[in-house]
Amino acid sequence: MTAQQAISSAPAHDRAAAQATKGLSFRPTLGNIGAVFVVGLWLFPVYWIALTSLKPIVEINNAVPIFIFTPTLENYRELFTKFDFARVLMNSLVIAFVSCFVVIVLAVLAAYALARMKVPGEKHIALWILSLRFLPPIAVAIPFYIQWQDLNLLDTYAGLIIIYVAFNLPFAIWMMRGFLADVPVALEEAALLDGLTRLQIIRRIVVPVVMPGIASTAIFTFVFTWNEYLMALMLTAFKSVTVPVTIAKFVQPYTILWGQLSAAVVIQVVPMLIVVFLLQRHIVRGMTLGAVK
Amino acid sequence: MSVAARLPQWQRREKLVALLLLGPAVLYLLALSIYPTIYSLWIAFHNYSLYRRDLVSFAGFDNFTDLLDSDIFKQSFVVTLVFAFSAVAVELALGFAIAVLLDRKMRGANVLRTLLIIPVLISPVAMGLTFRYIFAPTYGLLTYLMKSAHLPTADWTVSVTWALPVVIFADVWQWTPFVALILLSGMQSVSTEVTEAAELDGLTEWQKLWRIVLPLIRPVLLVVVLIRLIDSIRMFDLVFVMTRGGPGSTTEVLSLFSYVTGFASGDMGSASAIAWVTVVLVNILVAVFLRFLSKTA
Amino acid sequence: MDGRKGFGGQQGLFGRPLSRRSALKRLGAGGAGALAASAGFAGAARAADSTSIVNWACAGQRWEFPQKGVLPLFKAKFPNIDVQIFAEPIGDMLAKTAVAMASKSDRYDVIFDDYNYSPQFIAEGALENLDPYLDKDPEFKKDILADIPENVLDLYRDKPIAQGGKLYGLPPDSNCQMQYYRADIFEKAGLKPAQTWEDVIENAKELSKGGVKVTGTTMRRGFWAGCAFITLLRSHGGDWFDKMEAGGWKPQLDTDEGHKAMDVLVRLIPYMEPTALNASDDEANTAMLNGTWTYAPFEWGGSSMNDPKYTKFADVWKVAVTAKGANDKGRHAPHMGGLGLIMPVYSHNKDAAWEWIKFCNSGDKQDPAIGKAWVENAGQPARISLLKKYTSVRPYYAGMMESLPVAMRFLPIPESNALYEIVGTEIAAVAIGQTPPDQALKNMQKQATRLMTKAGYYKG
Repeated sequence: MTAQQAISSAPAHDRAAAQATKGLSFRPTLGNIGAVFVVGLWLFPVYWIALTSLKPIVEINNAVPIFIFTPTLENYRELFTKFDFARVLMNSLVIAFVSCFVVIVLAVLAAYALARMKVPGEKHIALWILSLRFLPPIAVAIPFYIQWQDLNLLDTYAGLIIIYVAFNLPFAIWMMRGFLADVPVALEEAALLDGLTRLQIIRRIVVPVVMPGIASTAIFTFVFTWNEYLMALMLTAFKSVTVPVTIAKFVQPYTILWGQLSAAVVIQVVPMLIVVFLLQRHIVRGMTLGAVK
Repeated sequence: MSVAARLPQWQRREKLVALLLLGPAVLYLLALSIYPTIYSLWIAFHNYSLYRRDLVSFAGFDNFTDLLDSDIFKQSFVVTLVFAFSAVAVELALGFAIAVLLDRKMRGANVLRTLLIIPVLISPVAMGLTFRYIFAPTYGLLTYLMKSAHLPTADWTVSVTWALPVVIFADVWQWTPFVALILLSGMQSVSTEVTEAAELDGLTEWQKLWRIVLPLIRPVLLVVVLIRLIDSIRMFDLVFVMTRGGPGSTTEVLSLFSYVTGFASGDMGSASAIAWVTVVLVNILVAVFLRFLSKTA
Repeated sequence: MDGRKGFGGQQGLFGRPLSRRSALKRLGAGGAGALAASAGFAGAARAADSTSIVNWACAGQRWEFPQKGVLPLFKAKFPNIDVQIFAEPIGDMLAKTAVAMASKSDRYDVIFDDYNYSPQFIAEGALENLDPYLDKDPEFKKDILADIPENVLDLYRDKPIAQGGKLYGLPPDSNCQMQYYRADIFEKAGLKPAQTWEDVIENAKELSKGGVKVTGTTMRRGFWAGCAFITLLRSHGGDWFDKMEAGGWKPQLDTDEGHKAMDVLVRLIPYMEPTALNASDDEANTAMLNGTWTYAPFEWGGSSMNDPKYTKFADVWKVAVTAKGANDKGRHAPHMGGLGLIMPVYSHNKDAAWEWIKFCNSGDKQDPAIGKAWVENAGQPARISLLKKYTSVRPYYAGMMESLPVAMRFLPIPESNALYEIVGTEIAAVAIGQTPPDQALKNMQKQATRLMTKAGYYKG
């Protein structure tokens, strides 16, 4: 069986694997109950935030935490009327998606070259890439501000995207390098003998196998970009302001607008949860390796 | 005869392909890192006050040596190390345990995995504020709950003993899911063939975990620990919002100290110096870490 | 390429069939959006008969809200000027405005910023002198000079007017520390607002008799703790320097007054509620709003204390002047705060910016609606006429009218922030028991002197 044929059979195997979980039941074993319990308990602060987002302001500012109250959607409404949250959300979404896309593309290619191909000075290059993550953003805030001002990139999408790609590329490359190292070389060697080019190998053989890794890296790159605060604070004003900066605005000198803050967090989390849930399909065990016999 | 002429055709093409794959990323990073790196280094060797830019002058190593006289710098250095190592150790242990717990075939497993990622998704600024409220003395949620249960309570974020542990707690809460999910991805990339073979050989679950799975996910584990270590040393958002270094300077991590020095006192030269000390620290830690690991490989 | 869709394998990068077209579309949308945004901002609409100005304000009450409150009135009067109000959390304003001024940014025409940051902007020549604009409008000038206390206007001058200073900002806003107390609690305990700091300690002691501490002030390391100490220092008759002119500038921290001030602080701290030790403005206000604190001997003003939307205790929070030292030299010396409207010299729309600045500062004289809108949107005016007129709506205005004339400013030099940081760091260490008080005074003195030496104040 050639590698080509192995990969053609992959989708079927994956579908089967995915469907296999559908038939599963929830057996109340210690492990299963434990899993639910741990996750449930872990999320307690999140419940608190969700609860707070539905509280009227006066009850939030109470000396004693209130658990029973009449819920209101006032905080959510104020978010969109007073704080232009729809646009802020759109800004964050576009910037995060585009950054993530560019990062993954560049990272997968680069990581493959580092992990699989004989690149002179590979170790040094990899370490240099990692070292870029060492510098605290605070040190580069001013240089970037001045540079961006000269290039007219302040308060734009492109301005932040360029920075975020640079900030997240090292992490993505290193993550992918780790995942790619896990892939057995046998698959590719078979493909090479078949006469496939490197690019074809990457596209057709390696990427499907390392999909869980790509999905994880994509999720976390997205999240890092989504939550980044310092550079967004420095480099945006009002056209491309992102969610974290807006959330910080709720900390006002006289009071923290807990209501709006919690509402913003809830809104911020929900779309990301959907994306993650959709990507869950790819973090499923036993994808194609069984094909190499 | 030149080396290039001796190389077979496809090997030369291999090199070209490698360059084309690696090139864009490297060039991009190079282009964007050179100017800020050089600029911030330049600032570190000058007296550069944000408020008196007419007085910029060369300072040699003064900004660095002055740090050695600063009690707060020394405190900050220790606080940062304590924070980073404690947080990463706990995240690793807990993360691994949770990954094992979630690595099971059961209905709703993917729902659990999706829910678990929520802490990572929430902006650290929002989480820091929430935890500041939960751990506030007197009117905070935890204090209230403990008093209601007639348990002794503490001053948490305002207590000299508890402030740093509480910040570590917040960080662990937020980032353990990150570690867990990456490890989980690694575990689930392990082919069923291998685990089935191990089962056939009569290994118990525990042995399977330690002797088969763990070594196989080693590359991913190392990267995750490395990334978390580096990020913990540079941590800023969480502590800025939760305690801003207080009470006193008991939670003043290096990034925060750099920020305050630069933007509150206006001493950008020292702020940059602190940032570069952080870089050197991380470099040393990473080098030690990687060397230690290649020895045990 | 074979028939497989897209890049990255048959399933696409995000798990849904990501055709090359949709990928390109996404990238294109992002890129086009970026271009559009940058083009839109770089070339702000400068049609022949309309101007657009950008106003950068601190987010929230007192600054952003009142400006947005008077904006419709401004638009009605000046349909040709489009004002874009952009708000930033106050905690970040220093960092960003300093960086913006450092890079000579022309993006902002008006900045609503704390007067404390003005000295360095003035020193580096980044602010437009407003005297010529005032001179063009003698009636407004007369009105402003009469209605805003001189020491408040001096906050925006390079030197006090008595020494011929020039004006670089106009304040529609003012603030000072005041003695906040809950009238209901005080009545029940038979207490009165304090006259001296000894009274303050007595009050705090009485209030904590039930075992629960309810006194507080902002004592976070840095600027906040620094303010606390300097207020105490000044109210015992001391001050930062011997004299603020050539030949002087010697810090007066480790002095008799300094010791008295430190002594008061050390005796007051045990009666403070724990949050105070690391509190900045929002924590202090939260504690006051939710009833945790019932006594704040030197807190900054704010309208939420009297606003039923934010607290159950809106009717019972009252203010008095901060206490004075119990010694002969004792005086009332609260710190003065306040934000003003400044105009960067790099702006391209100075005349339009001036109209907006003038409008925000109009108070009641030009149009009663302006003053009303300002006050109703949580503003805190500097004009005495407004403070007087709206005391019924905001009872604490009465306290401000009493305190503003005696309030003292931060330092009028660029090193002000750094100096407060030095003091604040030592005080916070004392508060948590890390440094002995006498040692802290010595440290402060040494570091302040070192800073002033480095900044060249003792040359020749």
